[in-house]
Amino acid sequence: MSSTEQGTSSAAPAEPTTAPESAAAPEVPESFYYVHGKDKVVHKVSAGALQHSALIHGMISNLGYTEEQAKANPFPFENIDGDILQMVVDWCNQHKGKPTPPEDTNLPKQKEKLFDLVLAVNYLEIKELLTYCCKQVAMMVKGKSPEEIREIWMIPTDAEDEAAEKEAKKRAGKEAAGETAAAAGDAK
Amino acid sequence: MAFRGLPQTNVRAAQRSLDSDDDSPVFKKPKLPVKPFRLLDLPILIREKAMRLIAPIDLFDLSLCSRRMTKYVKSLRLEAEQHKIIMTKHQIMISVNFPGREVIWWDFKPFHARRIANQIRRIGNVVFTQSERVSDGTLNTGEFYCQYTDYEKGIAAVSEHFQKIFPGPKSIIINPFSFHELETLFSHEHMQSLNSLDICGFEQPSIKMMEEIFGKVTLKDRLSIKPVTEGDYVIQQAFQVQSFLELRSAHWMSREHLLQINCRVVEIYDHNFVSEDIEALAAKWKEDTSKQWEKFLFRWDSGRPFCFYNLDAEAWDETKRESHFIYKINQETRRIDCTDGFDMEREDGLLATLVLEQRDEHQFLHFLVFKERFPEKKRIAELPSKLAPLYTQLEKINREYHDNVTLERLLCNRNLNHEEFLETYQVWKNMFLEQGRVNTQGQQLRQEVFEKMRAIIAA
Repeated sequence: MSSTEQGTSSAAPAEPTTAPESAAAPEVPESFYYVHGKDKVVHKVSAGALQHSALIHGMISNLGYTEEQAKANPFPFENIDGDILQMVVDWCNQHKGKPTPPEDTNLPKQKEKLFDLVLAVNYLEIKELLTYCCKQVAMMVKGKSPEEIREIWMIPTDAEDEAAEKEAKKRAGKEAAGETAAAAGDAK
Repeated sequence: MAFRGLPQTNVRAAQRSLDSDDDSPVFKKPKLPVKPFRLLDLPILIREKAMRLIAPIDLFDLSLCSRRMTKYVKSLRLEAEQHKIIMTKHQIMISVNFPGREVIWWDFKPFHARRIANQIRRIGNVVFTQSERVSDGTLNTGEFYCQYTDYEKGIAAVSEHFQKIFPGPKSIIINPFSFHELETLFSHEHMQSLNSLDICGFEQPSIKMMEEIFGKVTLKDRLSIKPVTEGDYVIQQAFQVQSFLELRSAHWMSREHLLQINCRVVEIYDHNFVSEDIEALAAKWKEDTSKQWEKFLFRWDSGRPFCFYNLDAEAWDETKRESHFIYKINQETRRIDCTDGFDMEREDGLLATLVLEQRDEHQFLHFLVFKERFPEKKRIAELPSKLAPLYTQLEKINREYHDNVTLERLLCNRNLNHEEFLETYQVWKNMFLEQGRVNTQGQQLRQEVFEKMRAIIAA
């Protein structure tokens, strides 16, 4: 379960609201952590759900935070868009303590969101979700012709690749020439 | 995630597609920046992970997008089990098989007329302007059809690309009389190193044709030449193959040539060999333990003398080997009666026999090496373990369906030996043939299992 609220700053997040736990709530109280993305919206996530992320799991395993400390120190992921982080948190909560099924149909179909999701999931090291995302990526070109694939994945043509390479070489040459000139100036 | 810069052409393309959605002349949609999925912007490991989940046929089309994509697909190192090129009068196609994955077919001459093929695929220097892709999930195949009449050039280009992205052993089946540019075809480097080559057809290929095919080719596993070949053209590749060599005519072959062969199974039909050559073959086998020979067949029609003067051999001794030599061909088990064979033993313990066999209108001389001296005994000893899961299956069926007749109950008995099983099976089969149908679902299920058991026992 997660909840979100617009935080005023990463240091002092607003009090997040918690949705009720499922009927079969564990007897031992579960510890919670807080994360926020680029939009500073704080998400409350249980330690169990966060175990999916190798990155966060590694970060929290040695902290030994109390509830208050955790609340006061949400993990900032400034490179992840808020809606993407929300998706990740939702997925982690949905699959908390459950064996992951071979297919996941809840992933975004829009390719622009999928791209960011892949990068976020890769950054957060969520192995199973990354595999689902990669499957989704692979499915984008199923049965498509080379021309269609080129459009879907924005693959440059050989001519475009060559032009880009030429441009890069030219730029590198200019930079090298600039550096040589600067070095010569320094020597004088 | 930061919005990434795009090449102008791609932005324009994306913008065009956005514009095309707008069908209202009055209300213009705001032109938002399009955030496309740029595969090449993914971290390398993620890109590779996603690409590994793409089916081979889609990877093939992906590789045709650009040289860079060809390189990326190649870097996945997805190996093919076999590349098969068929070039006959009625069939011109390439297939690429993968272990446990969809087969890719590229057909240059589809049997049935297809709907208009209008996809463009550039492969190497060849542009297939009329190509089409069809997938058949039932057969687990993905097929491409194309209309391109320069077959040799097309085959060479497509095959080379397949080889580049999915390396694997190549085999060719070719009727040389159906093609005029054999030299062009075999001048490509990737066509010169083959795993297997089958030459089919009835007409005798000319020396020029043979030279065009065999001039540069090296073979590894198999060579089969069905048509008669020129009497004095020496086929060097016959000495290279390791698994199977079949020559319809081998008049070019001298005794020295024969002894040079190092192939496991050899079949030679028309030849000039006499008994002394076969004696030399046996002597060579005895002295040279590096020879992998397992089975030689020579057509030896009656009239050709069959008498050995210097052969150090003995009559069949049942304590040393079984009466029959067992081998498999095209999934079928065959047996050669070697009761009248001339046996010889080698110092490494292997036993070989020379025996004449009458089959149909022809007589064949076999030189057979018994790698397993009692193969049938071994096979029968293994039967209980092979049949055990099927008996378990029968027990399960019997628990669920109580409709078995006496003969079926007998066939379900594990204590039945294999001969008793076959006899009972035959009686049961005849009973059902008389009835013309299987009565109940239980009987139908049992029948399927009995068929499998019979196939195992009678193999």
